[in-house]
Amino acid sequence: MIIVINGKSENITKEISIEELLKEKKIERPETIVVEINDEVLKRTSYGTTLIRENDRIELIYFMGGGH
Amino acid sequence: MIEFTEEQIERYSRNLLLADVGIEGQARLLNGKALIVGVGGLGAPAAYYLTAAGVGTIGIVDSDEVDRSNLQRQIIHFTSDIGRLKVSSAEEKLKSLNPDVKVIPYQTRLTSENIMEIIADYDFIIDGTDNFPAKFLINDACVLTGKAFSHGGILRFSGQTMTHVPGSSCYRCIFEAPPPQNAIPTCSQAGILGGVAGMLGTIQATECLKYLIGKGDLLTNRLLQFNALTMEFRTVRIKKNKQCIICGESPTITELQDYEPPICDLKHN
Repeated sequence: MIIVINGKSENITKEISIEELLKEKKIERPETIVVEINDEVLKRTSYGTTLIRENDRIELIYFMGGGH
Repeated sequence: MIEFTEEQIERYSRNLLLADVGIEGQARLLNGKALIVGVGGLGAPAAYYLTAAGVGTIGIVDSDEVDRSNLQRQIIHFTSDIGRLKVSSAEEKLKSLNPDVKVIPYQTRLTSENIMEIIADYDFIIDGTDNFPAKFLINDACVLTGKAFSHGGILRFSGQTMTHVPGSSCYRCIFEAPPPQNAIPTCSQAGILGGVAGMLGTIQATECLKYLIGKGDLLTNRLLQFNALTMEFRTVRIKKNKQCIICGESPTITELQDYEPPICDLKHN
């Protein structure tokens, strides 16, 4: 099925959870990002139970702390 | 209405030519008050552009001294300023750039104890800080007191920014709390391309100018992110989060708190 991650279409072969997606994306520390699905920020505690559906728009938003 | 001098008409002629600025917008800028927190990679270009545009009062907050490693991007500080207080170095340049502008230096770090008093008098706050405790503190103080501010974050070749005005989504609508200490590298650990800091700082300054003149669409309820390596810009919609712990329906944060700054950041910003 087709999903959109950070604006780019991707094909995933089976239904997976956000937790599994992050593993696939090699994001080893989920606490360093925020996940938004279809414009809603997802609670970190529901990454394991939230399954990705066809046409979901997923944003992986990184913390950026720099400024100086 | 402000009476413009001939010098001002000449100085601000390119602003005055803009239909969305004009005499009225320029008067608003001259009456405007902006606070820049951190005169570093983001704050330096922001301070320059706000001063050049004629924002009447500019507060600058920084407790640090100029270090040689700052000069690659903090363009308000010169080689001869190494060792000087950043607020003194910046104040001198800004006054020299535009004597119309009143520059107010605050040689301090913002804390829950002093932030309310410092921001009280300003219309718009620019977050040009280099650490999460300060970013969350600025967000919280601005949300609690109904102030507009611009969040800015940079790292390596990337930047992100959003603007908050009373009622729009806030930084905590996205990022509920600071990440674990040392989970995110800082610019002093991971590096930052100087031009990237300039790109983001000038976006923040432009948001402030738009806010003061009251024109255009601010970066509210959206987060602008860019990567300078690919030069791709993306805007992510950020809905106001009903569960936001400071601006949601049942906020649990009702007063300011200080998060501990990471020790490694205190000396190397």
